[in-house]
Amino acid sequence: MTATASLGDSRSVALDGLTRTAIVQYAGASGDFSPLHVDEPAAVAAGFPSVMGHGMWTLAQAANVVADWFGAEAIVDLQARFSAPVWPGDELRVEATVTAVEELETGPIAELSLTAINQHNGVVLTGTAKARPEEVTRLEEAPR
Amino acid sequence: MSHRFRLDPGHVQAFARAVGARVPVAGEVVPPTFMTCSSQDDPAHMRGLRPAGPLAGLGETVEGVLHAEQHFEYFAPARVGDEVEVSEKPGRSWVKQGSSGQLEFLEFVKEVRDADGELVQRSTMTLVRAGDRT
Repeated sequence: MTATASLGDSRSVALDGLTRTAIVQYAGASGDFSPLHVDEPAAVAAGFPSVMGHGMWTLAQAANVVADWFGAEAIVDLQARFSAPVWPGDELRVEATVTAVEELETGPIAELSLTAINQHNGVVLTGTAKARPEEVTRLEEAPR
Repeated sequence: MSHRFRLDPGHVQAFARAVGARVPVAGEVVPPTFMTCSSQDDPAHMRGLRPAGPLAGLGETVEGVLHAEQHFEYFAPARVGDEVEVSEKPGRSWVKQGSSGQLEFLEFVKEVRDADGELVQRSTMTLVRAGDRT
C-alpha cells in the first residue's frame, strides 16, 4: 500500500457512542474481563460511576485511523497514554496528524500524533505512531 | 514463561469486529493492537474466571489497577494464520506522588517471536495502582 503524507496532514473520525455491549464485545475478543469493564456493581463498589471502556479499545480506534491511511503493515511504532477513562455513552473523536516526515535510506517514515477526545472536549488518549508507507520487510531489533 | 499464540482467522475476525477494523484475510497482517489478545491462547487464562499473565499477580486488588500507557514496537509483519510464541515479564516499576495519594506504576513487557525465535513485536504495558487510599 502506498500513501502520501505531508507535514500537518490530518484525519479525524467521529465514533458512535460507546455502549456496554461494545465493551463486552471487546472483552470477549481480547480476553480482558477485568470487573472494571464488565461487572457494573464491582466497578461501582470500586468507586467508579459505572463500568469503563477498555483503553485498548480506544487505542485500537486510533490505530484504525493510521491503518486505514497508511496500511496496517506500514505501522512500525504505536504508543499511547490513557489520560482519562471512557464511559458508556461517550462519543469519541479520534484524530491522527502528521508531525514529521523523515527520509530514511529505506524510504520515507511519517510520525503522527494521536488524540482521542470525548464529547466534553476531554482528552482521553494521547499518543504517537510511526508509519512507513511501503512494504515492510524487517527492521533492526532495537537495543533495550 | 511463554505460550504459543495462533493468529486464528476467527479470533482475528472477532477482534476486528469489536474494534471496527477491516477484517484481514489469511496472509494479511493482523490489526495493529491484536497482540493484546494473546492471553486468549494461554490455556490458563480465565480458567475458573482467573486471568493469567500480568493481572494474575495483582490478585484481589485488580479493581484498583488501571491501564496507564501502552507501547507497541513492530519489527516484522504478523499475519493471519501465523503462529507465534509470546513471553511476558515485569519491566520497570516506579512510584509517583499524585494529587490524591501515592501512585505505583508497573511495566510489563511482552515479546512476540516467530518460529525461528526472531522478534516480531514488543509491547510494553504500563499499569497504575493507587496506593493506600485511606
